[in-house]
Order: sequence, then C-alpha cells, then structure tokens
Amino acid sequence: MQIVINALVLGIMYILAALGFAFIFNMLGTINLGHGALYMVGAYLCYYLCAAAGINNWIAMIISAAVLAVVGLLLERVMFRLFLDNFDRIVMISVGIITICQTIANLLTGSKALVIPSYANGLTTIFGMSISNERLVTFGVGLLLLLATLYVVNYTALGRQMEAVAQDRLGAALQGINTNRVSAAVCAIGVGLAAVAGCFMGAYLGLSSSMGDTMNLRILMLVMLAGAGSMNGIIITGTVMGFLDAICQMAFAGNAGSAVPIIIIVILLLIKPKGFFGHDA
Amino acid sequence: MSNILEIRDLTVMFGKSIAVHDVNINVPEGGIVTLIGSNGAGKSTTLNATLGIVPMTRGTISFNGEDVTHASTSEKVRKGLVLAPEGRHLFPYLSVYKNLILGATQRKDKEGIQQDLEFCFELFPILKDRLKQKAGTMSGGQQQMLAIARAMMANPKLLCLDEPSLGLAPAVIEDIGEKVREINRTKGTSILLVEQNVHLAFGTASYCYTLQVGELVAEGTVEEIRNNDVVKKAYFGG
Ligand SMILES: Nc1ncnc2c1ncn2[C@@H]1O[C@H](COP(=O)(O)OP(=O)(O)O)[C@@H](O)[C@H]1O
Ligand SMILES: [Mg+2]
Repeated sequence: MQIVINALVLGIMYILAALGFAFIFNMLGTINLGHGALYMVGAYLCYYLCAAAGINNWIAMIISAAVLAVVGLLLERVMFRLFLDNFDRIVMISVGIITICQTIANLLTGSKALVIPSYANGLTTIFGMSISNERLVTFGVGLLLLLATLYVVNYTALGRQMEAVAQDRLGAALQGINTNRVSAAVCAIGVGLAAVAGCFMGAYLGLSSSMGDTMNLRILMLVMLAGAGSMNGIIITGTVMGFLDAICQMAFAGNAGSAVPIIIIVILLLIKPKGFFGHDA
Repeated sequence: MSNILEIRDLTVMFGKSIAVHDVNINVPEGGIVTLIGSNGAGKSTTLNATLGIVPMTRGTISFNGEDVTHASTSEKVRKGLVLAPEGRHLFPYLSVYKNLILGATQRKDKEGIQQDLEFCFELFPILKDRLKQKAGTMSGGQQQMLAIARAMMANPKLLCLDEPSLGLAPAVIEDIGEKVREINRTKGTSILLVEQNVHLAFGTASYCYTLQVGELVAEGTVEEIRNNDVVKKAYFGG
C-alpha cells in the first residue's frame, strides 16, 4: 500500500514538471531541454531561501515558483520568440543554461546532502494505514495545481487561446489573439509548475545537481509516451510512470531500480513510436 | 460613397524578391470587390500584409477612415478588419463551437456574440448540427463554411476571403458564393474576395482588380474586366 502512495506522489510530481514542457512543446513546437535544469533551480532557490534566509518553506516555495515564472517569461522573450524557427540555436542556448545551472549547483552542494525542510510533520492514519503527512501534502497540493491547470486549459479564455496557438499559430493571430503574449503566459506557468515540483521533490528526495537530468529524462519519456498534443495522455502516462518508478525501486536494488522503468518505456515506445494518446496516435 | 479600405502603394519584399509592387486597392463601404490573379501573383501576400501577418516594405493601409498601417493584427481585428485565410487555418482538434468562439476573441459584447452565433447557424445550418465535432474531421466544404463563420464571429466591417473555393467541388463553390452575397446583403459587411476561380469572382463581386506577378494590370467593373484583353488572354486562353 505504501507503494501506491509513493507512486501517486511521484506520478503527480512528474506530471507537474512535464506539463510545462508539454505546453511549450505543443505551443512553440520546440523542446525546452532546460526544463529539468529550471526544476532544479526552483528546488535550490527554495532550499537557500529556507536555510540561508530562514524563510518558512511554504513561502520559499511560492517565491521560488514566482521567480521561475519570471524566468519562464524571460526565456520566451529572449530565446523562443527570437529563434522560433531555429531549433539548433535553441538547443545550444539550452545546453548552455543547463551547464551553468549545474555547475553552480555543484559548487553550492559539493558533497553535502541538502534537503529542503519537511513541509509537514507527523503521520495520519487513513483506513488503518499510517501515511506521512509530507506525502499527503505533496500529493494534495500537486493534485490541486493539476486540477487548476486542467480548468484553465479547458474552461477559460486563456486555455482556449493556448489551444488555438498550439494548433494553428497563424489562425490564432488572425482571430486577434496576441500569440506572443499567450506563449509568454504558458512559459511562465509551465516553468513555475516545474519549480513547485522541484520544491516538493527537494524535500522528498533531497537536492542534487543531477536532479534536473533525472527529471528531464522522465519528462521526455512521459511526453513521448503520451503523444503530442494530449493533456489527458500526460496525466495518465504520468501516473503510470509514477507507479513504474515506485514499484521498480522496491523490487530492484540500486541502479536497476532506475534502469528498469526506462527499459520498459523504451519498449513501449518501440511498440507505439507516436505515443498512446496524441492527435496522430 | 466612402471607402472602408484603402491600400496605397503596397510593396512587399521577401528578402530581395518583390512579391507585391505598388498595389492600390479600394473597397467601398458595403461593396464586394474581388482581386484575381494566377498562382504566385501576390494575392495572398496583399491580404496578409494588409492584416499585418507579413511585414510591408512600403505603403499605407487606411481602414474605416483611419490610418492602420502600423496597427497590430489584434487591433485591426478589433476594428473589424478580418481575414479568412487561404488554407482556412482552423483549429483542427477543437470543436466547431470553440472555433467559432475563438473568432470572437477580441469582443466583449456577450449579446452581440450570441446574435452572431445565431446568424452563423442560420447561414450555415450544418454548423449547428456539428457543434461538438472536431473541426479537422469535417469535409472541405464544411471547413470552409466554418472558416467564414469564424471570421463573421469577429463582427467584421470588412471580410477578406482568400481563395475560399480552393479544393472544393463546383456545387459547393456555388453555394459559398451565394453565402458570401447573403452576408453582404443581410449584414452590410463589405467583402474583399481573393480568387483564382474567375467564375466565382465575377459571380460575386461588382468591382475587380487583376494582379500579375506582383503588379496590378487591370481594374474595373466586373463587366469591363470580363471583356478586358489582358485578362481574357490570361484566363480564357484567348
Ligand atoms: N513567406 C514567404 N517567403 C518568401 N516568399 C514568399 C512568401 N510568401 C509568398 N512568397 C512569394 O511571393 C509571391 C506571391 O505569393 P502569394 O502572395 O502567395 O501569391 P498568390 O496568393 O497570388 O498565389 C510568390 O512568388 C511566392 O513564392
Ligand atoms: Mg494565395
């Protein structure tokens, strides 16, 4: 049963981190390779706001998410908008950003094991099972943010405009939609959500300069499995991946625990290269 | 009668090649004007530059008595200058309903939007039956109807149509032409119709401009252009 809880927590964190990546992918037709690095920066920022500045960790999380949302805005303005048709350049800039972020993280962390202070202490007993409040809170907030995002996408003008820009940028512009502004909003929301995931995962698994790479791998696989343009697909595959990770970490010792889920996913992708839920699936 | 749209000395260059050179077009208020020309003549470029979708190299655009040369596409749409583009550019995975509502992006008048929705359903009853269907799954003719209806949802003063006949069967083209005239008649919307299909163009419009490799070569009433030698040679092989 503990596995199910872990799986749900991991799954929802993967989904939060992947949403922004998928939004940017759908909307701008480009891959934000730096997404994992931004997720990591969100976690580190939260940690130092707590540890160095003594700020309450919830408030630190909110500040971190806000700061990274602004970073998302800037990225849209100075990178995606300018190089929309130049994938090579976007990749080069992204790799630069990743390298800088990781180097700084390495310098800061060194060999220390940094962990963001727990967001909630104690245990709660549900159906005769004790679950750590930390997990409950992580899952709860994650679920809330996910539902809020789904609501925005499906039931608001911004969501409609996001879909319009993603499906036909020129068509969207001709309806009078300010496509750049919509892209910017999406980058801000997407990177902000990744930061929140980073803040929770930094408390759950601790900080490391490679946490972004680990998450990037998850995100890439998740979005590929889901298929282009599918929101529901991301949620389903995110949950499945959470389960895979949680189960494999229990069942296999050491590195095999992280390798096995990847092998399973590669096999799934070989079976269905375009993903399971996308428009062209 | 005053002009709803005046395009002056419009020149558009893509790199070093001139796509449109010193084009002047007037659309009178409440009128239907057509711009014809063969493939690559610069028709779409003229419309796209007018809407601000491609940058103009030189020239001015005045709409409804106002200089909108430097206005953004959003502003132009809000003022009532609307384009249903070549290739339709619908949102294929969104429902017919959401496509229509997106056409009204720049509007705040809920009642007016509702009325225009009703107007679109009267004009194209098929759309009402297909409200929940994804736009991309409809037939070409239905998609063109949706493209025109979506443009009407912006409550345009001038509706620009770029080759609505493209890829459609003759009977459907006939129908589209009829609907365009109906829009003009019942709503008083001015129309700028870009076409390669001269049959549709002449059947719908009263005034005609002819574009050849980026330059206007003839203009006049549809009757005059029908009998114009240059146009005859280009279109009717003699
Ligand atoms: N985005 C573009 N970049 C470069 N050249 C273009 C672009 N759009 C159109 N052209 C060129 O401009 C000319 C006019 O094209 P277009 O306006 O599409 O003609 P039409 O609509 O009359 O068929 C063509 O030679 C075309 O190749
Ligand atoms: Mg054209």
